[in-house]
Amino acid sequence: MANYLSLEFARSGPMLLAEARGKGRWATAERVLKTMKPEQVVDEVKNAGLRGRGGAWFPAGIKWSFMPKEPKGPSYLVINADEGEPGTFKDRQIMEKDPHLLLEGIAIACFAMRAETCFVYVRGEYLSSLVALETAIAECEQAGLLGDDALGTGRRVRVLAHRGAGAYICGEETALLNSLEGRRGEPRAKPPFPAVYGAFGRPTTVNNVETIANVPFILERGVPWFRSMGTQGAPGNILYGVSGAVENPGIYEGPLGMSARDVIEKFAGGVKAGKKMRAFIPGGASTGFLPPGKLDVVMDPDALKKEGTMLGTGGIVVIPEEVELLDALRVLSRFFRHETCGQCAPCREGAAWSDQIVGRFQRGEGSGDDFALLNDIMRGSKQRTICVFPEAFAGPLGSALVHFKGDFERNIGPASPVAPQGATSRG
Amino acid sequence: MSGASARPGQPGEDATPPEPLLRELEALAARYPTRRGGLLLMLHRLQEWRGWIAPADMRRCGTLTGISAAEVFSVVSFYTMFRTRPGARFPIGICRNIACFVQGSEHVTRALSEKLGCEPGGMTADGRFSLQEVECLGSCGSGPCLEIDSRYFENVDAGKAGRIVDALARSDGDATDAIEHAAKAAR
Amino acid sequence: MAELSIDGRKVEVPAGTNVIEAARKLAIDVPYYCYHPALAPVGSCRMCQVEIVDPGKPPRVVIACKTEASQGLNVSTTGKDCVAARAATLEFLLANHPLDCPICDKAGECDLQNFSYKHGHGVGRFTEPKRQLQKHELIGDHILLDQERCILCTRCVRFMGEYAKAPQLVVAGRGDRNVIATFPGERMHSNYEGNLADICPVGALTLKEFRFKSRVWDLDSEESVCTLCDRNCSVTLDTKRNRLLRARPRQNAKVNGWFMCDVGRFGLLDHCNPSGREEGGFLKGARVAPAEAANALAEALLADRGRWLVVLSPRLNCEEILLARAVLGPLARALVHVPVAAEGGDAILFTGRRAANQRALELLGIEPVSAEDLARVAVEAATAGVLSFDSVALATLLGKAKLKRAALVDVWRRADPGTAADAAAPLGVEFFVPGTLFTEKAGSFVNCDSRLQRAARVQRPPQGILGEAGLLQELARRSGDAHAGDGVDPTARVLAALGQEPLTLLQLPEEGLDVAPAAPVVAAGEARLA
Repeated sequence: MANYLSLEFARSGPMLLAEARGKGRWATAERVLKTMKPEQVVDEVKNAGLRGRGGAWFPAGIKWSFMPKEPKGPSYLVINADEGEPGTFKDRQIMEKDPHLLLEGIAIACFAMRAETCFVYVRGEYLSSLVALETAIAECEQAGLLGDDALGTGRRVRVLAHRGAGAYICGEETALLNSLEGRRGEPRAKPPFPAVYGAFGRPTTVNNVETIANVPFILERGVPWFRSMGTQGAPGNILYGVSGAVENPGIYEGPLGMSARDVIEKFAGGVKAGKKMRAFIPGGASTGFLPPGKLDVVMDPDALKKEGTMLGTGGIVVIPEEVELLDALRVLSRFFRHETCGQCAPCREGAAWSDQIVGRFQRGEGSGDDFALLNDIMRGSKQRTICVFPEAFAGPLGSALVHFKGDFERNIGPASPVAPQGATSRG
Repeated sequence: MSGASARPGQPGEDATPPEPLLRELEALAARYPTRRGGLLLMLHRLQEWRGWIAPADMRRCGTLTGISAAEVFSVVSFYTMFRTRPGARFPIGICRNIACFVQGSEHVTRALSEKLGCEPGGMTADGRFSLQEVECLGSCGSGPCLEIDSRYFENVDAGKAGRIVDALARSDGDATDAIEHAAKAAR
Repeated sequence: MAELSIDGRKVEVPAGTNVIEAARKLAIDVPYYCYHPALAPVGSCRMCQVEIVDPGKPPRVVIACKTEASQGLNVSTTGKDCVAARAATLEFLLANHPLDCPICDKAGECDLQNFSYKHGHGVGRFTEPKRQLQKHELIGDHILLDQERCILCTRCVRFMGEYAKAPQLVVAGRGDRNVIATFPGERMHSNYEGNLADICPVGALTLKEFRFKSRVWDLDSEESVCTLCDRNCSVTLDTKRNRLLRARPRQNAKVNGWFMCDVGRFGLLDHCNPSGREEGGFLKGARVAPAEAANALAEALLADRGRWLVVLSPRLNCEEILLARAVLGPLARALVHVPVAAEGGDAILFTGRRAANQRALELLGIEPVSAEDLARVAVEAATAGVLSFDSVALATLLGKAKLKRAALVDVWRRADPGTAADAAAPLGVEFFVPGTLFTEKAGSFVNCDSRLQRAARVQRPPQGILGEAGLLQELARRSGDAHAGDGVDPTARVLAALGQEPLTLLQLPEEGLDVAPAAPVVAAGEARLA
């Protein structure tokens, strides 16, 4: 099946407007804005079965339909370009290589949701993405594609690039909205949901970059074309990321529903230097570790759910045999401890505590009681906080305990004295 | 503070932003539905100018956005990228997350640490370099990844990292130019 | 209204009421830290988890603070999932807590301590090194912060922003590096800081003024009001060995909500523990026993019947004012008060009018006069002398007029030379009878909104001091007034005089009583001075 998302990824810099128009960018947006009705666009996206590529895989068209049809005051589209899930580096390709694809999708989505302003929240570290995007926005404003009279339709479509400042949690959509408003990136309690009370207190839809990049193609080529790729429940192509110990790490476009084995072997050339694989992460850090025996899992949100994990962002990370699983786990537990926003007690303390325990196992100082304790930490925090961050840190931890329990057991140390630290001989 | 003088040409702690920057800050506040929305971009701009975010910068942002200086501080302290102390001329960040780790980022860190004579989290005595392990930079397909002032250096190994540092150690001009130059030198 | 069921018991509450408050109506305690009825809920401490039970579905664990009561909602606070969830939350909160209860001022009224007994495990499994953070740092004019004890409920942050309108306290950092902090290098300043020590559910924010003063269980606590302005915030006064160690706001929706200001909180400590208090009486500069001074003053008043000008004070309680009206009214040339104007008040609680019972003076018909009019009348031939129950008013008068005779009944402190009160020093007046603090007698006060509340007696006056009532009763006895000793409760008498049902002091409701008159107040006697 032909690729459509990644055709420009081989270039060294962003494709500028003149060349982009030559490749058909903006033609679909122009046709849509001039000839269609917003609800028709929503229906197309709904019928196409486009699901959100940010990791939650919520149907985009349904999300769009939550927005007010007769808005009293502004509604906003917010693009989540806070790509922070370790193992994920796809959105960056779109922004750095083909920014007009994203902007065209934004124009269509704004039209469909009756939003006049779109904020693109680019993670702070992605300076190259931000510059490419800002350049493209300026080109579009100059050419009348964006602005007060977008594409000559009399409609206003403004795109503002916003820059984060280093916080993984801002990928959570309500944390992102707080960050956009100049606040700490702490997730908001829901309800109210963003479609009711979002950015700056207005109805808002937050979509991932890759999700929006699919939109112009759906409207250009139609629902049957889109549904001809991928799986029944998750149509279309996805940008698989493959990193870690593989021969050719990178972003590979392919239909949803490929096996992890095919992605790793056919796209990325298999494990580096013919080594053995210890484990792989199917869709970004929070999806946890799977053993090589699970390589035939299907990269589809619903199939991976059945495996007790998630498709996440589709960012596969291959852990080679030379890397100890506990070392890999510690990298992630330390990461999640570093990145929890800390507002909810179970998550703040649970992420830190579990990282400390993993650290003890890593040093060969684990204890048999720690298995129950780690499970209690996950049980006491999952579904017990404002957002799903505990599910994220429990991803690698829980999967390691299920699939690699032996690694823990081999690292139980001699029974530690009963007196905890701090006890001294001064009596 | 020795670090403050480590960036030649960078304004001191008490310096007032120049007029064009002040106008830019105002424009950023005015760009959002609420003035506070401009806060992150304002802080980025002030940090680019001063090299770090001084208490006076937080107060100024508070005044411009209508929140208290303490609230600005709260925001600043939440985000990893904001520095509230003067930093090195070339702050080197090395990704320590999973993809880079698997590809040997620890070796790069160790090599740089030895070469610079400073531990991760520290700064060289002359204030020219600092070394910091950072979380995922979104460069997993081209790791290990090293970052200096938001400029990425990808597919780095100990040798390449050493060449980058050598190039930067020789430079005396504008830091951004020096970083671009080092990027070429490392290829 | 919505009828819901909690632990099998039905309760009706206004729709939208949260489940914590609905449960409170049934006397079911749902534990919580970050929630506070006076602040916007954030739902982050996760202590108030309860279960929603829908028939045919597994119970759903939710946070009670953000769950609104709705018709037919079925809540369980005892389901095993929510009990486990609360225990887990407590274990998380206690993991890095220093457990220094033996040296913590909060011990005894600490929710971390209390809930641990009720909802916790009893055994800690946290064996890692605990976080080491800033200890007992002064972050404001009164507040000490111990970051290690903090559980990051952010009540203090929200209080400073939402209530005190001074967002100077924030969460700094991220994740397990989060701490409560002020702007680097700065302390907060607000007239409402003291409340932080009350709303902090643990010992993270404590009062400099109460530090290591007492274990809370050794305190005697009584309900009273704050008399440092005419808001009369409802308070609880905590004393030990006759000293006031702490004043805390007492919840009263009709007066002060949940809080009180620092002028009152810390002013009361000074007011009620006066240093350099003059405990003797004075006659023409000579120190005498208080009773002797009172007797001499009574004689002078009776000797010049109808010629003394009597200035009452808003520091007196209602019962004293009414007694003065009954006893001194017929004796004096006029019974007046000098209204105190507001100065430096804020838009929250502090009115700036340092005249606790001014409204009672008005309602009981005591004639208001300006300081100028008072000075004019005081030197008229018809005036034999001035008796003031208020040292400030007398000092002002002495600055404006040369009085023939002067008498002062008040609490006087020698400690503050140069102040207005000092100008009316006992040595400068012919008669000085030492007065009593409002805490040295039981009585009532009426606030600026005409709400009458009880103030308990929480301290003993110094030996020999008979106080204002002592003098007035002596006068009543000598002038044959029927008021003295008729057995009628003085508060009931006040309420009757105000046209209200004559409740006794102890019968007053906790929230106090609205005594606003149906019609505008007219002075009891004819206006003789204005």
